Amino acid sequence: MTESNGPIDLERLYAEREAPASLRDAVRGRVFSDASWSRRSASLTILRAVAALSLFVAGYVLGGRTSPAPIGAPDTWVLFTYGASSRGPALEEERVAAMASWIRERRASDPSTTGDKLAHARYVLGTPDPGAEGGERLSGLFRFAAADEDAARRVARNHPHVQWGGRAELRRIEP
Amino acid sequence: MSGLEAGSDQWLVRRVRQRDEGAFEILYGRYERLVYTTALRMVGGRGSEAEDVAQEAWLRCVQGLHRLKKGSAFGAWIVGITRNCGLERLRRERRSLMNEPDDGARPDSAAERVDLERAFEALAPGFRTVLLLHDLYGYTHGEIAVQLGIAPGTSKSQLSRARSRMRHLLNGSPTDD
Repeated sequence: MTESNGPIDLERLYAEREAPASLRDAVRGRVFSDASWSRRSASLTILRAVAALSLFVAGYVLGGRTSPAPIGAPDTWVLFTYGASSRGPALEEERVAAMASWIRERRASDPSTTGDKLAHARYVLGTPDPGAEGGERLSGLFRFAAADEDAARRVARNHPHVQWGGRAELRRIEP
Repeated sequence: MSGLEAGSDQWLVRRVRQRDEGAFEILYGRYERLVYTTALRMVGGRGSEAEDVAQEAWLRCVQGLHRLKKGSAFGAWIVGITRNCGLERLRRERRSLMNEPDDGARPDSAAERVDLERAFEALAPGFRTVLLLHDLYGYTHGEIAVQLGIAPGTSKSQLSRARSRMRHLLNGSPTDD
């Protein structure tokens, strides 16, 4: 073999070809209808149910709280912030920067963390207007993962808005 | 960007192991092109066959996700699965691998300058596979011989002729063999 018959550069081969849109549907169909997918789902559901029931019974017997305990993957939680906090930086930009910093720090351990500041304008659909009583308006929402309520509370307590004495509500997303 | 979309591959893989359909959709979106490109390469650019290979690869990926070691790169893993699916398909079509035209190219391959894909597709399947496995994926002749059920010497000679033929098609230069 001569030197000119060295390796062929094939890195570009089909590199620009897009996968057809129909492929996604076909893959979804095969994967989600596969027995291994539903079997694992079913077994996980049963496992979760059994674990939840066990914990409920244990909690009931011990006279403690009966909130569901973590199983496997962490749950997703949403922290709703309302109005402006009484303490903290006076400048809006500094408040936003502090919250952005909180998100970045959270992402080091929980990549799912996201946050959004809501625009002041709101558009009410339907009646009655839930904010008509003059309560503080929803001002931001932040998503993160936490194993249980205690862990979620710890995360929320470190959120700048909460640290500055602002009102917030913590909710778990139904898995 | 939602929380799921911001998640690392490892985090998505954990979710898919727990049969989270949303996580699978995102993981699929990240790697659909890479898997499809790999499948196309393995079947010589035949779109419908590449789709079959890609479907099989994704299904095996989900079925075998528990075998993905912690810290392993998901992308490299699923590309390996796709390559294996393509190789299995080629082995099933072994008759076509064994019946190569002597010059390593299909009879209608003109000496005119053609692009990389057309040149690749002009090679006979066995030559194409050896070229791909050796020059793109870094297999040794011994490994290729095991995968394709041929002698290492055959792999060497097919590679030499495949390269020569590719250059001939791409540049119009004379072949070595």
